[in-house]
Amino acid sequence: MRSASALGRTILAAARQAVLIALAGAFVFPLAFMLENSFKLGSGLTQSALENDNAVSGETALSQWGLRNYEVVLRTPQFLRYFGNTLLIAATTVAVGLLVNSLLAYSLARRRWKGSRLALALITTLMIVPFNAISMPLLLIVNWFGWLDTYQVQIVPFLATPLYVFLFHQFFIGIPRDYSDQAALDGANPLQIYWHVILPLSGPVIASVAVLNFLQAWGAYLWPLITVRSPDYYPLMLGASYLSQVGRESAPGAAMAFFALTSLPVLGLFLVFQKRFMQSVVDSSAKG
Amino acid sequence: MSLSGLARPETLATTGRATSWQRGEQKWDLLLAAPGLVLMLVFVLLPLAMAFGMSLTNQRLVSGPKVPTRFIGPENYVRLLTDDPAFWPALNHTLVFAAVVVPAETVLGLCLAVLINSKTRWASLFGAFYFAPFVLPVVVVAAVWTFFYASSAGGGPQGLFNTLILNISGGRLGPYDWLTDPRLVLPSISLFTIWQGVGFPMVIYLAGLQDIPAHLYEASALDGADGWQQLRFVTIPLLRNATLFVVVVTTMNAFGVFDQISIMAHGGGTFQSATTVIYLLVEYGFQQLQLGYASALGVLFLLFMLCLSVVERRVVREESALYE
Repeated sequence: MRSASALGRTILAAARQAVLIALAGAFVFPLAFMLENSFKLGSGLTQSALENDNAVSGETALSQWGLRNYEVVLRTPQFLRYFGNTLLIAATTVAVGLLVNSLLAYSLARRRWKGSRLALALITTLMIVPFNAISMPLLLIVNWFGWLDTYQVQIVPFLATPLYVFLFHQFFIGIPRDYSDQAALDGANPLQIYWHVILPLSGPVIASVAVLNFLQAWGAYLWPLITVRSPDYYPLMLGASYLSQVGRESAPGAAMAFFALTSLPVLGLFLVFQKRFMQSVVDSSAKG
Repeated sequence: MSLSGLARPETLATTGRATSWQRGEQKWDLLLAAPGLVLMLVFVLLPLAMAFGMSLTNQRLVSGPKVPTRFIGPENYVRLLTDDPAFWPALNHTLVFAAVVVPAETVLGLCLAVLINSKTRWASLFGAFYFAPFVLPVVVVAAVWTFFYASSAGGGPQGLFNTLILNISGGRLGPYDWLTDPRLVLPSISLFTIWQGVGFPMVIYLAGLQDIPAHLYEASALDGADGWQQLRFVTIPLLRNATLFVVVVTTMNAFGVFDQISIMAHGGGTFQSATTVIYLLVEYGFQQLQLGYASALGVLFLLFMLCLSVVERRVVREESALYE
């Protein structure tokens, strides 16, 4: 009796393991497909997935691999331009955004000024306003500023974000007041307290907001599509979108290399900070 | 507004009297909060207020002398709801899309979370695999998937799905025009969306599962509950808030879907059969520059989102009241 149930449990565990592995295959396959084909030269890309295994002999298959596609992409001046643009936009948005949002949250959490409660209530309400709903008036506003076709149109509107202020605020109110009170007695001004006391204790929330903000900035597509027409200011996503329509038949390998290079920074960060990424998504759900 | 407090912080230390101390304090409050407040005012609150106003005008991006911007009352809304051949189909597509994607992502997300929550070896590694598509830019993974959906109709080689179906059925089924057949384009994009997005409910559920106290399982096991009954009577009821959150967020995302539609349905001339509400909004606002009209669509979208979140908060409140 006992051995039968033990056997059953073993079978169950093995089955579960098999399901986990099969599912992992389904989730990783498209990424593997992208990487594999980015190293593959020659055409016939879309058929290759099934037929290569049996039809092509080892030798010719090997000779069809190489870095040519990456060379092609990296030699295109547009690619480096787009990559630089996205890097600049994402880095500035995250760095300045962290500062602006955490300063505001610190002010709301630790200092009481006229209207601070109202401001907090308003910010919590604004969290649920979807960007798409206000994108049209925003387009009008940035057009007034003369910001179409610039970097700042892709950065400045995304610096102050209600959700991030809220996340910082929730974290800051959990930090014991004794720490900052002690610093104040020692003669520190509020900015010094923020910088030397609050921020060093806030690693987790800074990481969470940075991850969420970076992912959003790196993958931004709709807004640049509306506001940027000059390729000089194109982010990577507009290039990728263009390539997905044009490159499918003409240069599939190069398109895949482009996609791979585009996802590489995100994928690399994810592999290193995997737990942090997942935790930051969970943190963002604490807004209920 | 004066930011001079930044220039001379030493005044704080040198002046001893309470009144000037307080005045200095107020300067600090301004200094700390002002950048965020100003930015939010200009780029969130102002456009939000303008959306309502603009939806009652015939605002265009650049209003010339030919079409001066003027107040037209609820005309945009009337036109949208009664006289726009594209609106109801777009709403219909969005509803169908959400009706498929939301339950699928929720149920699959729960299944994945339960699978990797058990003390299986490498569980967190598998979790990372399932979550990976969610962190990648939608544009890029959607572009990769268009290769899988390729059909020879466009002149190129068959994609993965057609090759698979042709091989398995021995040529009796397919090939299908996944992204250009009006009946298939939305299901194809839905499948992609589920694959891409299911990592999100998974991590939310995983966090919820880890919050369930172990003694509940022990107690139910003593009462003779088997694994399935524990899932049905312990796990799922205690994940109610997680489920609610997942359903609300995936619904919001499904209603706001744009990126993958723009990438995947661009192929044939049939992409109207995949037009969603936000796609329509961008079409009106950006392609046709009818900002007033597009704003009306945005306001309707916003009101819908508002209702959704009010319902969520009310249900959560009822729930917590139950436990008090």
